Amino acid sequence: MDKIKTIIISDAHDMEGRLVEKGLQDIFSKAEVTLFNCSDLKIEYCIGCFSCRYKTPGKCIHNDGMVDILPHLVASDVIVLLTRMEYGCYSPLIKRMLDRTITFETPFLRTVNGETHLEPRYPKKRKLLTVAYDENIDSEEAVIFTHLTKRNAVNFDAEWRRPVFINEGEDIEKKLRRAYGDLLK
Amino acid sequence: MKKVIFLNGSPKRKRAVSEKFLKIAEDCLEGQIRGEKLYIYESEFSDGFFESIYEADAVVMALPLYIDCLPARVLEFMTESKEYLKNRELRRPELYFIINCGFLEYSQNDTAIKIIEKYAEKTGFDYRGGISIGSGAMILQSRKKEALEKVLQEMAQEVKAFYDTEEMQETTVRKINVDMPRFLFKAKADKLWVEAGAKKGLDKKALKAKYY
Repeated sequence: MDKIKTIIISDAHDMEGRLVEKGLQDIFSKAEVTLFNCSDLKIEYCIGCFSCRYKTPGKCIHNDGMVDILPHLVASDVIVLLTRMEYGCYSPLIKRMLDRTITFETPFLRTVNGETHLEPRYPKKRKLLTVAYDENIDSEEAVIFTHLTKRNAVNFDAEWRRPVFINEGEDIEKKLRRAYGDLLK
Repeated sequence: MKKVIFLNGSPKRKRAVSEKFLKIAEDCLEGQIRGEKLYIYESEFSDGFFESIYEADAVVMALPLYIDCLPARVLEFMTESKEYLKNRELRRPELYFIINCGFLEYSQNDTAIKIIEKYAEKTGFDYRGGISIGSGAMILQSRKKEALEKVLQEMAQEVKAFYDTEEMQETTVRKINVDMPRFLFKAKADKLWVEAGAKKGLDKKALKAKYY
């Protein structure tokens, strides 16, 4: 695991989120980690113009915080997304970043698990770990999020890892350490 | 007369295929409801914006699937709703959706539909289901266009009079796509991009190029 390129993309901007973000940095202390906190970056909305597909392939029209994130995402072996849970989905801040990762794919289709999906522009064996936190994540939200991240792993051309759910007051280190062990398998 | 908000959740706003789907539903209801159109990607989430929504009898939200779920600003609208609703009395407007994905399989919308349902549960909407569309804009140029119009009209009738009927009705999610073999859909979709690239002087290899 050591020196494996890991990108952590976080939305943490309050005490609860920052604690989990700190826990992640500690757990990944032996890896080559680059941390991006979306609340410190200006990230525009994807406007669905598809310039990145047929005008300037792989390049977005926006020149913003994603210009810093994308090269690290491309080079990464492990992608870690840290997000507040919203209705079984990511926080708007993380989703804004994710919407802009369509540059990660070509416009062309392939078949995965019996469904049409876009071809990866940067094929590489990556792993995707997601960590969701909130005051109280209900079981339905956890199921929705689990399914969502499985689908996202296809987009990232990544091996999916079971998400970590952290409710307020829970033992962050214990949960993250277990997930880290799972990541090494 | 019912007040109905038609809520466009596409980043492409008036140019979106979601707008076309909404328009079909709106046209069915012309003169039968009081309708208002709002655009999530060009609205400030002010108290006035949320008042329009929560004072309505029904909301019909049309949106594209983005990265397997809802576009970012739609999620922002959803989280801001929670803030608006703090210490306010709920009226429970009915919530209907029209979701479309550019992939062939409408089943790819299922996770996003669950998120909409969870949102409705947590923010005081009466979740009434909707329409799940696969194959995106292609359906409007296909033989399934009439079938799509029919399901949009059926949903519009529910929006107009869901609680007017005597019988208890089920919450329905109607599903539709172009209904063609996957290999043919893939060939057609890929051809469209090759043609779009050619107009910009780019061949297929250039469209697949790595930028980073």
